Amino acid sequence: MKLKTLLSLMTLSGTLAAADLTIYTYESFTGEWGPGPALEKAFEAQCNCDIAFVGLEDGVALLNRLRLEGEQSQADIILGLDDGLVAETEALGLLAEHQQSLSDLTLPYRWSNEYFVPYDYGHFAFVYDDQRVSEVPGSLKELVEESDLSVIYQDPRLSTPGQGLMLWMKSVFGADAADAWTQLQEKTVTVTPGWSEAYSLFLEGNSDMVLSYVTSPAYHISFEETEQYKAAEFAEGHYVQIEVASALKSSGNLPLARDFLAFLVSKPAQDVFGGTNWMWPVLAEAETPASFDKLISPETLYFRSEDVAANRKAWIREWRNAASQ
Amino acid sequence: MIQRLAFLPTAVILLTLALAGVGLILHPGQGGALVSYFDAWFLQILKFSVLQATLSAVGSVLLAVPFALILATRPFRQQWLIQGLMNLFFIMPVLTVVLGVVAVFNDWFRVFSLTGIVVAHLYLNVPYAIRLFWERLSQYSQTHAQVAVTLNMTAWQRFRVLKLPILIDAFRPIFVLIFLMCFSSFTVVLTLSGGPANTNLEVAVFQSLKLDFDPKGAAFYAFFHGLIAFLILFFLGRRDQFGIEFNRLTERQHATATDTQWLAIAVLLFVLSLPLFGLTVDALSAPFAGSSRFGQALTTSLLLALGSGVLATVLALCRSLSKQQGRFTRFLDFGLLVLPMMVITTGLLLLTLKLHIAFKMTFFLIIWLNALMAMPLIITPLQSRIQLYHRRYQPLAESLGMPARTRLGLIYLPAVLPLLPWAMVLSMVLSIGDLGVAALLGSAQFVTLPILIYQAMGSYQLVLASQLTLILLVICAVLLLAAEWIGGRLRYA
Repeated sequence: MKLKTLLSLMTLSGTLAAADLTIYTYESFTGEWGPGPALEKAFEAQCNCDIAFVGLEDGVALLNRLRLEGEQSQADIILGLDDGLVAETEALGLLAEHQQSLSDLTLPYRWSNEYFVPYDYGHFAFVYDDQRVSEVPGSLKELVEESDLSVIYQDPRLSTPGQGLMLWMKSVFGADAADAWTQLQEKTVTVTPGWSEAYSLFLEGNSDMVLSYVTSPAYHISFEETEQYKAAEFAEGHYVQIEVASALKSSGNLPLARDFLAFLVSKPAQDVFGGTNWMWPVLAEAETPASFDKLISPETLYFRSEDVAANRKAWIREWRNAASQ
Repeated sequence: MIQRLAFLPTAVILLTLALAGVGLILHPGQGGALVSYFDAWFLQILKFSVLQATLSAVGSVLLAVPFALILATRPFRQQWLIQGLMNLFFIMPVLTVVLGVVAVFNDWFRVFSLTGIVVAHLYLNVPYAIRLFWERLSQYSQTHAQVAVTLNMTAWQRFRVLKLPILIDAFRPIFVLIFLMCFSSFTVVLTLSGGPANTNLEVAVFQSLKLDFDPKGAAFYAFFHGLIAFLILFFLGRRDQFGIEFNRLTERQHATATDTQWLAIAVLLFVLSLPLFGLTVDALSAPFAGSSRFGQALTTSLLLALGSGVLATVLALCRSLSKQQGRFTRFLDFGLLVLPMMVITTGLLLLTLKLHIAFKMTFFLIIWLNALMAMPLIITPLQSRIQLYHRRYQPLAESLGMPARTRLGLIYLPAVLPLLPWAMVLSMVLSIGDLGVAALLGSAQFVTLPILIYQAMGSYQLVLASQLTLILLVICAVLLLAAEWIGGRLRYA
């Protein structure tokens, strides 16, 4: 019996090759708590075809895999990059135009990219426990310059939310970002490699605030029936992350890949994202868990992805040097 | 034939490094000029990497020695339980240890600092060091011990003559192993760093390969990782065996431990179990929701672990037979610990991508790399036994004209038999918990237990993640305890 299982595992590549559509995405998307399984079921019923997800670490890992595989990529679709990585991915020249009309989507800023279809979004936010914190700062400036609250955030070199905070700080403080990082460091308990470490440390009471998403409290409301976790609304606006998908030129089944992109922004798919990916759907009429009604809706801050690509290295160095002092 | 067997691991390790090197050369990324990497920042992280690894390794060894001495005073029937638990603490998930250290010690000192990093490393490595020292100390000759008693030697004299030489010799490989493991530590160092000021070389490698897509930078940092590893092996990697470790009489196991031994065990178990406390409370805070892919994940994990366990044990045994123990060849004993794992994995991944066999190879790559990572951690005691028996029986075997097969069966197998269950199961459980290799390669359609835990954490299922971690630990504990029990039967029966 063991031998049979082993053999079936070794022929995995067979199932992958047999799939009509292979989608590279990030690991938590494909898990049973992520949107992957529900989307797979709904789309397969509609197209009478077989799709397969391949889970990689995160958005940056996706971009790198694409760079490494180039035109030989096994993927038909790449799903789960964020808007900050769009320009670098386009520059590889591997993408196919999506040919979808996206005019009826509701997005935090105007979207006019011909390769990438946005499917959900979320603003970054500092989350706190209102049983523990009473004086909540009303702006990022107040948090950095005046507040006594301690924070935990993620490393901008290693994690998507960390990168988000870096861009947020840059869009609020601009040329003064270095000083702001040094000030923030005084309140920083630690900088973690990923979201899970930061969030776990926060839940165990090691800091007053943690960098996460505006939607994080919805999870606690839906599953733990507690409203004690809240996202602080900052007056300057919050940096946003839009998650996107694109078909690859090299796909052997481009029409089907485009069908999937169309499916991603259709109501059956959009209904899935709120309660599984804990992000806002891009279709206004899509269903979201009741807990989403209690979330804040902050103003949006963002950079063009070309600017992110051009400055990322310098901004990371700025953070590194300023926060090391 | 024996030397041909001994050459197998050499070939496998060199082949792995060479293939990874070829893969990296094929990397399409562009780096900067070499000089651009050599800045003040680099010197700072290099200094920090060496400092934290040295402190962690020195601390681990210093703490482990007294406990090992007490535990090894005389064998007792229940020792397989304690040995099994020591192994379990060694393979504890890093996040569990980190959260535990923070929960326990945050009120006493600032844990988000160098001190916190070292304490977390002590948690992970002291149990392993105790297990290895204990193993070596329990082997010294009963004949010598009896002579020492007859000669009316004082306790101090007996310690100095019988145990100190073994301790000093065992110290070197154990120190080097722990140093190398802490040197490439990632999650502990980062999570407890308190900020980017406390960063190690591993993070620089990660940033180069991932964020900067820069193989040149990664190779630069990997070179210094390798250089430090080489230097420490050059000066400290020597291994000796002593005649007094040859145990003709097997000491009888006592029905129970002495009071001092019980005290040491109580202290160890109390301190080491503290991080488990937080995990257990967390895991029991809600009913187990389960996962529809749990069975599949468990089967895959066990199969992968079995594969790497067998491979690691075979490689370690073959390597132990080798006569090449020179200053330059001894780095082979340390397998892939001498270079950053991410560089090797990325190189191999690239090569398989270029050859269009990436997804066909994923399963084998995970087994292969995990086996090579586990090999150095089980080789120390195997090697010291085999080399000792070799020195003892080689002339006899030569003069009898014993064929290789007989020598393997009559000399070397009995030498290591009681250790084999430990070696096999420890390398298995080291691979069960692996996430790094699997995550980097990309899990096509299969899911392992660590991937399941990772997916759960990424979807806010933190309690479920704790529950799955606890289940994983219980499975590992059962395997490890069974191995030590069988090993004990083989030795003392």
